Amino acid sequence: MTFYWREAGLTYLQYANITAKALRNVLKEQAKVVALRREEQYVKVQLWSQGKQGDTRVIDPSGNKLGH
Amino acid sequence: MLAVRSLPRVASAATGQPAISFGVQTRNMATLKEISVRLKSVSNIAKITKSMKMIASTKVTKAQRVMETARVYGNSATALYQHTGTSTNEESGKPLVVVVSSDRGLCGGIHSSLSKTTRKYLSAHPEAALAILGQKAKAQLQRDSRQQIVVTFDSVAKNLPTWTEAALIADEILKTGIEFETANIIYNKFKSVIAFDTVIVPVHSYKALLESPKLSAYEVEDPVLKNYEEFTLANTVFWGIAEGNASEMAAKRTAMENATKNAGEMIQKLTLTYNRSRQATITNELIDIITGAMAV
Repeated sequence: MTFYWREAGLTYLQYANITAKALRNVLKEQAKVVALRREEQYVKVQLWSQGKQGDTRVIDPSGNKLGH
Repeated sequence: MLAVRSLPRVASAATGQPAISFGVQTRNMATLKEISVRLKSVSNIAKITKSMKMIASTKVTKAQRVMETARVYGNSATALYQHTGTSTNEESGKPLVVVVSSDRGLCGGIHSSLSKTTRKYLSAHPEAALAILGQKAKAQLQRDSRQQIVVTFDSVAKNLPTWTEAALIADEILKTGIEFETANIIYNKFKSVIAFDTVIVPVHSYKALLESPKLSAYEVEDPVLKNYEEFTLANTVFWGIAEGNASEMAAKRTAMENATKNAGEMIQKLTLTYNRSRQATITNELIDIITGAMAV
């Protein structure tokens, strides 16, 4: 058994989040507002190499630019 | 003879007691003002800590609710390891350590407890890679383990912990391409409103799961296990964030309660000192007036 989305280069978590997003968008209006609020998430990441901190990058899949 | 003996006693009593310092303070008016300034600042701090305690108490209940649900998912995920008898041999592959803390301070010793546990683990496994969530643990761990840090995350768990956030973090950890046999999630387990416990929860890689003795009973295929590994990592990170958040809020509540109590004690003492020195000043002025009147 292979997964078509993995062949497309997605990880399971990305796949799961995309499906969840699609589901949130088809919810009834009242439930949608609450559900969409959960979607607004961002994290700041720094990659380290050899004990040195790299640049801060904001991951913001909802595209609301909350952390900028 | 008597006078000689009594002299040092008076001296020692004078240095040991604050009463004499009041005597000195009352001579100049500035100290009276100083005390009132201090009194004002302490009562302001008391107001702030009191409101912070209120905020933390409301957040505790919310965080606890999220934690209850996260715990169910977390326990079910780790239950599979028990059923399949999954274990990793310590030698093969380097372990990954995920420390789940947060950005906010003023909540007692919960971040230092995490750092302490992590340091202890790292001293036993010097080859481990380190992923840190939250600025507090980062600041504490980068001092002596900066070589091991692979990735750090800021502004984690700003509001209530959500699965989306945990998935983002887990995805980013996987993206760094760390080859790990076991990911150890270190977080503060919420025991009660006044107690937490720093625990280490392992997430095994799918290779380890594949080699576990009783897996054949489940009839699953390899790609599914890979998905499961990713899911479990995100799930356990979510669990860690949820429990950590609940413990943090509870610890903050206790810390702020203590701070308010201490500030209250301080206010009481300062008010007493203030009134006493005020009275002493008045008495001194009266004496001055009376002596002046008598001299006339």
